[in-house]
Amino acid sequence: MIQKQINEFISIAKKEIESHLSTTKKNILVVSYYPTYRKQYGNLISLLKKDYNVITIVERILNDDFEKSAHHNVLFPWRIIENGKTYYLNADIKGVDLILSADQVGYEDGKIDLTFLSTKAKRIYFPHSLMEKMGDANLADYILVPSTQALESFKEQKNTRAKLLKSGYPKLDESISNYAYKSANTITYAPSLRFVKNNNMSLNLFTGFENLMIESLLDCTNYNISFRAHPMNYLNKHPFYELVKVRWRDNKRVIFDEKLGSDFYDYSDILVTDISTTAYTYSFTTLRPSVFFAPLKLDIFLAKFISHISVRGGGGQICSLKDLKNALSGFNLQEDSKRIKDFRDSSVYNVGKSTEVILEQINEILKGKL
Amino acid sequence: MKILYAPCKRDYEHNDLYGNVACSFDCIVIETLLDLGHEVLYYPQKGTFKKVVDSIRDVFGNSIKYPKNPPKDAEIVVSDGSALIFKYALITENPGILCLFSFNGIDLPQDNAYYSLVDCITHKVFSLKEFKELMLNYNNASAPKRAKLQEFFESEIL
Repeated sequence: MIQKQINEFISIAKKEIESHLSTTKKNILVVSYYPTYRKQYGNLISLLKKDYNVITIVERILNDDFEKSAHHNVLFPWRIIENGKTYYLNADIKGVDLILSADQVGYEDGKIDLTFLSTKAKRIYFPHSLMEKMGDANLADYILVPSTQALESFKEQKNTRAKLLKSGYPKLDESISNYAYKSANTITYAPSLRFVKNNNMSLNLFTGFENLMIESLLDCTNYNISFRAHPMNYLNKHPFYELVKVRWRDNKRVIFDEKLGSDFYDYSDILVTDISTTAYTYSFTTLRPSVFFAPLKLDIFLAKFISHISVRGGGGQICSLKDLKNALSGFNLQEDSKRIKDFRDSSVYNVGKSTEVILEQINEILKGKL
Repeated sequence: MKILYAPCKRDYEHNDLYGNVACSFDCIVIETLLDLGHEVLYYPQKGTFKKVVDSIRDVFGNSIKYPKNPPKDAEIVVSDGSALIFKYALITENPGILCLFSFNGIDLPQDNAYYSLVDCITHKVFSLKEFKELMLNYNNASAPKRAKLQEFFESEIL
């Protein structure tokens, strides 16, 4: 019964996409599997619209800028979960030339990524991390690599399908161009993504750690603390996160930031994290330092570059509350800014002009020259 | 005082993000105890991710001890939930300390022998501030629980 309804929906949605396809211009679909990554394109969609027919494909309607950015927007979820069962939706739409996506899902051995909405279109993947490999290079034809570090990271995976293009990071360029600092005496604390088991001991550890961080930051500074969980955690109201909110809801110095995008850059004097990649986008945009509270000896690729954007450089990972307090009480913004800018400009490709470069790369791809 | 810090198992192998959360939690508790002038014996539960233990050794070096077995001379056990608290509290008559930093409080079932005992042998702290205050006033704060424990020892099992 459900499958029948889904098949009917697929048929209607497929016809809607087909009705929007152009016969005179190349057709580009921009697929969003998760809302979190809708900001990855910067102003690219508006540039693409000039020469191509662009259709955004979303898995839920949010009435946001992304849905208004192209010529058309169509709801076509890649999966529906009903009564605990997952149904994957797909259709093969003729006439699609190119599919862009800033996230991957890779279900059914990658089938959802490689054949989703078209078996013929070329696929470009926009990784959503500035500094390291994201996703699977076998599930795209091209990967728009943001930085020298990310390129090194992608090259660790051998014999992959995708071509690696030195492109840059549109989201960073957009952030830089929109950044307008307004003093609000605020630290953003932005922990990394967590999927926490809902048993007492796991909740006590993970929520407990967040509470310890907030309490310590309140105690060792005079800043307001803006708690910014990973969007996946706050959008889905994960219990460990909701518990943190309950603890601090009456504290006037604690704010819970649940706004998608990077508005928090404007009012954050400094960013504290455990090991979230957000720190790189934040520091590269604002040229303000980040602080990594991470006593674990890290093997992750990203850890190699922590000192470049940390307070006073060279500091790297903070392992104690005493060092956390020192880091937050004595940073020299001018020195930190210069060091962060030098590192950014030697790392990220095409800072300030990535969308123009990507537009040119897409032109070449669609002409069959790349 | 000689404090045994015995956290629950931290088995986050191959996941640095989660291993770091566990390591951070443990470092903050140990640092707090050291700042208050206590001697800390770190005894992770079996199965704890080796990298967490190694990282704690790197951070604290010789300022804490790393017993291979539960030491006989520890005076108080601090943990986020290890049942090792039973062993020490019943012998030393010093209630252990449960660091329940995620919760605002806990209601243990009344009229339940097990939870009555748990309540009797543990202090529960819900924030770093409460933890520090308790450690500064441990003997006075423990007196009512010690009296209850005495009462318990003087009762009959069956």
